[in-house]
Amino acid sequence: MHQHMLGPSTSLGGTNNSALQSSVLSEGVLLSHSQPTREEIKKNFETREGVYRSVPSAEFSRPRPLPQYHMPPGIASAAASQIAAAGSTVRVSFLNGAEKSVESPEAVAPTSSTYEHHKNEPNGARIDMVDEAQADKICFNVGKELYVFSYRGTQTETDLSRPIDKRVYKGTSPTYHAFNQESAKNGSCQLLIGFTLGQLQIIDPLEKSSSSPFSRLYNEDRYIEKTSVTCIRWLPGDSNIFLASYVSGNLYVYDQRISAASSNNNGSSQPPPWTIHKEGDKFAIHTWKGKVQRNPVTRWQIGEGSIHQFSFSGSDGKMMATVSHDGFLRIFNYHAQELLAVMKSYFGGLLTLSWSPDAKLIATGGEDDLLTVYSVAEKRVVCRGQAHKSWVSQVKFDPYLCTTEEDLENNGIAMTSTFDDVAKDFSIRSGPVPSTSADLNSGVMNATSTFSRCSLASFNTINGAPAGNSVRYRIGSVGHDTFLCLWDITEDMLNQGNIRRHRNSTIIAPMTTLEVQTNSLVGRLEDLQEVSPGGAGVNASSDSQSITNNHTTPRPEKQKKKKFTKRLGFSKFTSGSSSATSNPVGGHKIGTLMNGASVNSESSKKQNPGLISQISCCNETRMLGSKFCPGIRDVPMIEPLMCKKVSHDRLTVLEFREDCVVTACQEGYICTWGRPGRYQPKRDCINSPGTASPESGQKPSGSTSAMTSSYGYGSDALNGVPPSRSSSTYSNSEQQLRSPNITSPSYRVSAASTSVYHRPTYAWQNAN
Amino acid sequence: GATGSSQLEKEISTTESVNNANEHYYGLVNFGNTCYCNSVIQALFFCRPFREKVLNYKQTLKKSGASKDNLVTCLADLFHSIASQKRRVGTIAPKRFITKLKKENELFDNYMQQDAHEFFNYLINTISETLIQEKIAEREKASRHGTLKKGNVTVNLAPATAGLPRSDEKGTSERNGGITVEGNEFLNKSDTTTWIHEIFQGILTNETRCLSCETVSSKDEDFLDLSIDVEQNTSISHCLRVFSETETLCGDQKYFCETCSSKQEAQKRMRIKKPPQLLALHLKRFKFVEPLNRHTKLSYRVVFPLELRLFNVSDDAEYGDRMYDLVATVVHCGATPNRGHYITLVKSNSFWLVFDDDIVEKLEVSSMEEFSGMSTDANIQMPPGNQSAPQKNSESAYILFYQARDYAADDPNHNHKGKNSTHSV
Repeated sequence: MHQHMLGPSTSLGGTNNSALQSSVLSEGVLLSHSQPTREEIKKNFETREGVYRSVPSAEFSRPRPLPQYHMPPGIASAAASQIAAAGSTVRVSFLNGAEKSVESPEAVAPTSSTYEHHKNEPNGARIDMVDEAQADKICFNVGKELYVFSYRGTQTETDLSRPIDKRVYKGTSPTYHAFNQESAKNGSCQLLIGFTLGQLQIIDPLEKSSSSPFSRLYNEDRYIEKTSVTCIRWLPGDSNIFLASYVSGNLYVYDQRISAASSNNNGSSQPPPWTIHKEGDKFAIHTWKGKVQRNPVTRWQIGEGSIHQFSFSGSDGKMMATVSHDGFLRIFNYHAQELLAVMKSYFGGLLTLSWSPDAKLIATGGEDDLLTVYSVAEKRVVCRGQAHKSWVSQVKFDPYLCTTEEDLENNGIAMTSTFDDVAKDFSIRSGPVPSTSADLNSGVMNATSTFSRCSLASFNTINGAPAGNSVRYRIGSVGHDTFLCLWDITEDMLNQGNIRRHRNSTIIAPMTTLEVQTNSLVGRLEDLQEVSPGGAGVNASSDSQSITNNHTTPRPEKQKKKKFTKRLGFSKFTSGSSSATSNPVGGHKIGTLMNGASVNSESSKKQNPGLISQISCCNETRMLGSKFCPGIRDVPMIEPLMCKKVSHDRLTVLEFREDCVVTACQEGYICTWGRPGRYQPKRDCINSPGTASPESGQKPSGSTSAMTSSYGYGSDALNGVPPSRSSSTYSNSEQQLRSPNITSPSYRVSAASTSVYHRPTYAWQNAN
Repeated sequence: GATGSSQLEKEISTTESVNNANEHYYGLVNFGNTCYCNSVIQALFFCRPFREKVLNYKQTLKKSGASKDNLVTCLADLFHSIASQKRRVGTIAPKRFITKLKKENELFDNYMQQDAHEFFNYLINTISETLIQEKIAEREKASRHGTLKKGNVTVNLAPATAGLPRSDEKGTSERNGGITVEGNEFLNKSDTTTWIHEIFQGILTNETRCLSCETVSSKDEDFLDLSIDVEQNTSISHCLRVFSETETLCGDQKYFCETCSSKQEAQKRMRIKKPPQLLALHLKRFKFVEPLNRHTKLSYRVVFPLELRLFNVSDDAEYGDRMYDLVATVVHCGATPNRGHYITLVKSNSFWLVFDDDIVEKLEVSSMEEFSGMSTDANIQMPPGNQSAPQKNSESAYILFYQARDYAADDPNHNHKGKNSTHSV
């Protein structure tokens, strides 16, 4: 049987126990009294690089006042907003409009001084209506509604009453959407939307003239899939292929060139006859047997439970990573359909992931409230970050503040050579590639982004911060706790040899008063490790390994344990994550063993799939302490650079854009935060030294663009100058959108609401 | 009703793996505001270790031929009658148990809504008391016959605790425990440890550091469940971390330091030294508001993962990083403590079920999050006509039952993975 503790003089009657209860209670009360429970919502936040400010004019929400809305009878507007809040997750997607003129001279030779200049740039630049078509587009869903607006970053002047498109769905709600960045051209685009009942729809929100609006439906009758869509992406480098993941754990690949209706052609209401094409550890890939191509082309079954998010690797899109309810991050070679690596959360489901711009790292967030940074190349967890008070709903690398190894190499070129060289270098690097609208790194933007990195790197040097010649990644995370956190991953954190050092230098020290004591722990850690083979100072982590491996074995008494704790005294309070080091050697051994096991399972799976599941099942319980899921003390625990409450409701969206950061919450408020120097509040706000002077506000646009011209961030839209669109990057974008002949029979115009909405209210015929 | 249960029967038969076709899902009839009782009983029924001990208790009782009538036997009878039903689903009336409960404790002898957590505490304490009394009675009987069975009792000693010095006043007896087998002390220990403690009991260590002399003293306390303060838009793991946060004792809260022999400012915190096998977490959602002179409900959104590891364990904790699986959740529905309703979410094999008194329904895992509470306080100011919408949202988890995975692995009947049939299409 299991060991269990005997209570000292346990008269565990009701009275004794309730006494304990009340003591617990009084302490809790004490705690809550000593801390302010309500934290105010921040309108700006400061980081190493400067102050990010909320841009009130660029705030989106469902248009107000609410009573305009024709809600179902009997439900008052307030209640309706509650329902919306309880419904599908609010998401935001962007369409990057006209090419951000790669060839414009602004981008050349960024220096730190221009950065300073930029702070004086006039704000509120005039926006021509002509510019409308070229502006970026923002799409968001709230409850059953979907909105598309023009978006100009910090220069956005939102008129909520004038959306480009708004739709209200009946019986089903949009859950995720993505613009087809590659097929977008002037005046038309494709917006792919997924729904709670599993349907997929492609619309063109920009198309205004046609009497029969463009719309294409997939899984309309729900024969393919009945559960809710969780995430959708366009395949990088192919404007015809898109993928949708579902609560069921399925991920479907669709090809636009194949008729949408063909899946229903057989007239049967049976699920399509899939055949297994490829199988691996907890995943299987299915295709059609027949010769006729049908949609969806492929089905991936991945993990257990919902696939919460998936994403393709940075520039080449070769790899696809998924995060699931089962707590696993899985990294696939998408085209070879092979599982490359897995990682397990500390506990609970993983909800979100993001690739670093160089595709070397993946950041995940989930139900363990942790940020986890995983090295794809080394197949190990680099570090974890603890700051969120609840589940992490979205993590994102900030591509504009990441300095990758390649950037460092290119930096020299950028500084010394002409712009053309750099541009060439870029097109080689980012290839013909990828711009999923959800991932901000479109090929074009990558170009701009590196320049900004350069400028920031030099900026750092000027300010005495670590020089720009080291690798650095910026990660942002938002969570159900309404907090936004920013994290910096530096080169020494990435260096595996430095882990020990990091344990003592970057661990969280929750009690600042005791922080000083951390250093003194180094010696103790050394001591401990020497002792541990003898069994005296056996530490918690390795203990647990032996327990999980062989939990039936009675454990030896550890009399010395208590003594050692005493010796550490209160310093252990500070050192939560460091005082009991696990034996790194042991951890690795297990890791290798695990590798062996998975290799075995790879080779033997074909003969005995049942055995595989058994193996992986065992793996899971023994996973802690392995590379797949290191113990809490096995990897550094890092602190965020910044952690601020920025919303009333839980946050669901985080996007990094060139001049701003975008967040959204479940209430349906989309906020824009101007990057340092990229946005100044209107004149009446005089709380910063760099506030724009009245003169600068009236400068003619010509001189403005001249001023920005030497600035790395350079953006035309910013200055109201229509960008020239001669870039060839999008030359192949016209092929699509030429097949508007799909009349959607399932769309029924609801006459009652046509007067209210630009577009009629649609209903899913099969919605139930 | 009958149609509902046959629907459920159909649903579970399609989703269930063959080797676990033994479970029974029975709704419990409400005898007038007895949902506080029904909800806790259902949760405990699906805490497999607890259920097996209760059923086992009935069997041993049957073998010994003794006829007893107490709350434990009533519960055992109820569990037995559920587990021995022919049909997989249906309803059952826990009449005998309710009658006994009302007879035994006048607190519950009315038709008022009771606190489910209070009932849970009462139930497990009553069971352990009953078991202890029975043990003592048995020992007396045995010693009278001069046949003391040592084996039976020593097996319960935890090797790690025994001989581990404790700084608290109870430490003296503890140090000797398990080594000296001497009269009363030995017997006390074994007598007061029942399977209730085996399942639910964990140890908290209370560390206090005097800010004057820096002396750290620690004191261990047993617990059968943890009552956790809740905050808006947090997770249960965060609330547990806050529970173990360091606090400074100052002002009239000063701590009497024995080294300094005076009251001193001190820092203290309480962390888990031994995580129990079944971790019962009570979310303190009912808060007494003095100006109103009554309890109000905190419907805060506190998310709870289906898998949990503790962050707030002490450095010397054993099983400090053990993995827990959520097995049952008692949910309070309604905006106030006094009115409202209790339901239970239960994991059985690979799927989740909702037990709402006599109604049993399947629950999609993806909708578990809906029982976290409300993320904004906006609808407190809602006009009275709109009660229906917020009412639904105020369904919030009240007691969470997390079962240690390593423990479940020992249990041959409990397929903790359960879900591995997903891909065998």
